[in-house]
Amino acid sequence: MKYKFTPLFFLLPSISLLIIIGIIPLFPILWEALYLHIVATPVPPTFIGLDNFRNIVTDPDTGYYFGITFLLAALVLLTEIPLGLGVALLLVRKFRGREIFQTFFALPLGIAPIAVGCIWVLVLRPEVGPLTRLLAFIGMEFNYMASFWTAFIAILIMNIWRWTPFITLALLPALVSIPPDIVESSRIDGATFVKTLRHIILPTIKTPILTIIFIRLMDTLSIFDEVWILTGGGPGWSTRFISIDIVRRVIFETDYGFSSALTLIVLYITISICWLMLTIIKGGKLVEES
Amino acid sequence: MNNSKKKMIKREISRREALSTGAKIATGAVVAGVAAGVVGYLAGTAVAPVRTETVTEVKPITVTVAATPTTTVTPTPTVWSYKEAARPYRGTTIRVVTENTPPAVFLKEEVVPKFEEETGIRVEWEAVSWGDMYAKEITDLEAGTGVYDAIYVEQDIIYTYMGRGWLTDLTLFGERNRALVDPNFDVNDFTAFGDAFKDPITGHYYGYPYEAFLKTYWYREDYYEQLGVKPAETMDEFVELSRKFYEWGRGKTPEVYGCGFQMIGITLPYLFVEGFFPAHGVYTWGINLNTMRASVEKGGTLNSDRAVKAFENFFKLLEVAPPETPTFSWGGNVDAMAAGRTPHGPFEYSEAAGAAIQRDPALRLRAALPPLLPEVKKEVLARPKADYWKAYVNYYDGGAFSIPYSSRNKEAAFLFVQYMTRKEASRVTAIKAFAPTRKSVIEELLPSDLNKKTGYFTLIKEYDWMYGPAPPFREHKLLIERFYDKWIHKIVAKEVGVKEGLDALAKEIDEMLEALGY
Repeated sequence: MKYKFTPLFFLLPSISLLIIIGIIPLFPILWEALYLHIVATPVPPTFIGLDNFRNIVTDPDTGYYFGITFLLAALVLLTEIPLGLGVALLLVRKFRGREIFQTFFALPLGIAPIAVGCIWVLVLRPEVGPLTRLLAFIGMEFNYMASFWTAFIAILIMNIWRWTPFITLALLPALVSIPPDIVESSRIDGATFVKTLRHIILPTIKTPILTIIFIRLMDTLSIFDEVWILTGGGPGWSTRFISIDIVRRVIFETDYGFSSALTLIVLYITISICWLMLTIIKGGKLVEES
Repeated sequence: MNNSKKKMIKREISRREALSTGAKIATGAVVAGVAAGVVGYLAGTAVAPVRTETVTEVKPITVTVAATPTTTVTPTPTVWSYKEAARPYRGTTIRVVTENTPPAVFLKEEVVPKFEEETGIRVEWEAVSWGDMYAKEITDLEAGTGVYDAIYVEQDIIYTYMGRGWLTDLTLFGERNRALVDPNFDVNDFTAFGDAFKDPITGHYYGYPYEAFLKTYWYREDYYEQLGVKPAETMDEFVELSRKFYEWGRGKTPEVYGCGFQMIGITLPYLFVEGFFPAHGVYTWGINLNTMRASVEKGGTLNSDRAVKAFENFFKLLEVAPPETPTFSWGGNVDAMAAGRTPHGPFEYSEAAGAAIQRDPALRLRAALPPLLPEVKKEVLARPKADYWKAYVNYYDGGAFSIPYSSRNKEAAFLFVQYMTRKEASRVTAIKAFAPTRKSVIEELLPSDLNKKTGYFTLIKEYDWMYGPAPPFREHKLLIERFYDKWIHKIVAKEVGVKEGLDALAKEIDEMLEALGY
């Protein structure tokens, strides 16, 4: 009995914080989502039930924003993880200048997202940016704001530049922890690099990879700052990812009702994906327990 | 069962009990949170009467206006100084939020220290991007938290703020607090732009302007001399001139293009409603102010032939614009002109030109009336001077200082607002950022070298009546962000044809205005 409340005592601060900043704000949002409430108009808030949710589901523009957000998330994972793993495999070996390379390679991680956007605006500036000049030198004209695809590729390249080091650094300890004698034995037995990678390395680092996928997926679904600076959601509205759409609607249109409903849908999708990923990471244990 | 097992079971039970208790408490807290949230929200809604209080405060305005229908505040007869007037408020800190425009930055750096020294009132000034400023203001005003004591109110957003009862009636406030009124503060000295911050019915000021500039034609005089050309008067001439410059600029270092303009994100629809549309005779965003409808069949002009012509000329100019034009923000083309990439811009914010000259005094930028369709000039010249929304050549842009109704330091803020918008401060914003708000300052600057070089103060003195402030839409931001932004970008990206896009835009605007009760 003496220690009955001890665990609760230690849990209380985090539970309170979660309730205050995570749960309580959810209720006004739920409430707002049921209203037509555009602040910068003299029209008072009007109860409209689930109309905001219906409008989101039937709005082709919102569907498009979700579509490009998921497309970016998929491409980010498909490119960054192999690249990050490749560099990590390189860094496991000792070679001259490894530390220097590692330091420079990790630099983008320390740069604020806004600054990342500014850097890439300068790098990709048509005709005057160093990368566009380099491309022009080899005969390629590249104006990143010319179309959706050029802007999208620019965002993807920026994202890869920023986040691949994170994947490398996260995988490096896992790769180092693989006993060298196992890899050595497989080589002696005549296994190729691909076979070693497939049958020894990847199964060993499965959990960190899934964790990285989980983190990067969440990050990409909420991508905002760097895209805001680089393209402003353009050209036109073509790179208006879902987080940019929410910001535009809540801050500039001051449409609190629609934005609240949209936020709840994004939250629901994010929670579902989190749950799915956690289930996979825990090897289906959560499903079994329930 | 041995003792150790019993102990373990006991410990597990205790742990379960503890967790169960924890869960109960957490559930209780969540339920309490829900209740608190709902009650808080309802209480927040119930706080709305705060605005009713404001309305109550506003009521006597009508009475006052009926008795004294003048907007000029009568000063106190005694000797007056900011130091003496501010004596009861020494040590007070007021919080200010503005956009980080050049005039705001110059005021903050040069005028605020003098105000603080003279009055003993401390100023915490946040000069941030327009989006950040708007978010901060709306959050504070909507919740009535009273965080800010003076705020930047742009001429296009004031109708929204006034419509919501968020601003203090400065004329009335001055009448009720005569000891705080600077006797040298002459509201009649404001240029025509000052009218944008008056209640159209009572004539009372809800903001005093501190920056005002024409959106107009700016060109590099040295380039014009080299090519031996004069500024264009019509849109056709301007397109032709831009093509000439494009041909002339091939192979030069830096390579000179034909023309440039703001294009990224929300700047593009503003380029149209403020620049291309009025220059082509589509006024007040294509919305008929009497019928409050945009489509041609309902009295508007948004999908008219003139609007189509505006897009045709835009596309012609885009062909000869630098490839980086789609990344240009508000002052992007002025920067391009300063860098020698473009020779001119048809619709540029003059404060950006002023700031560019401030950075590089050798830069030879000159102002002129914007290129127009010939019939637009006739329409503008035919209308009464004060009837600016009937026809105008381009926008008269800028902003003012207002005091939120929720401010807790209105007296100190009132002194601050007067200090920042009086003649001495207007002189700073005029010289450094081409944003004069006072007629007397413009008169002073007419013989200056700056005016001889740029012609800007002569232009503003002679022709400011030809420019129009933003139309009085309370839903300004909603309309531009949700509708104009979407369809103009679709048209420019050629996702839809010009006529098809304008028809859809006009239809959606009509539907929204109808839904809002117009």
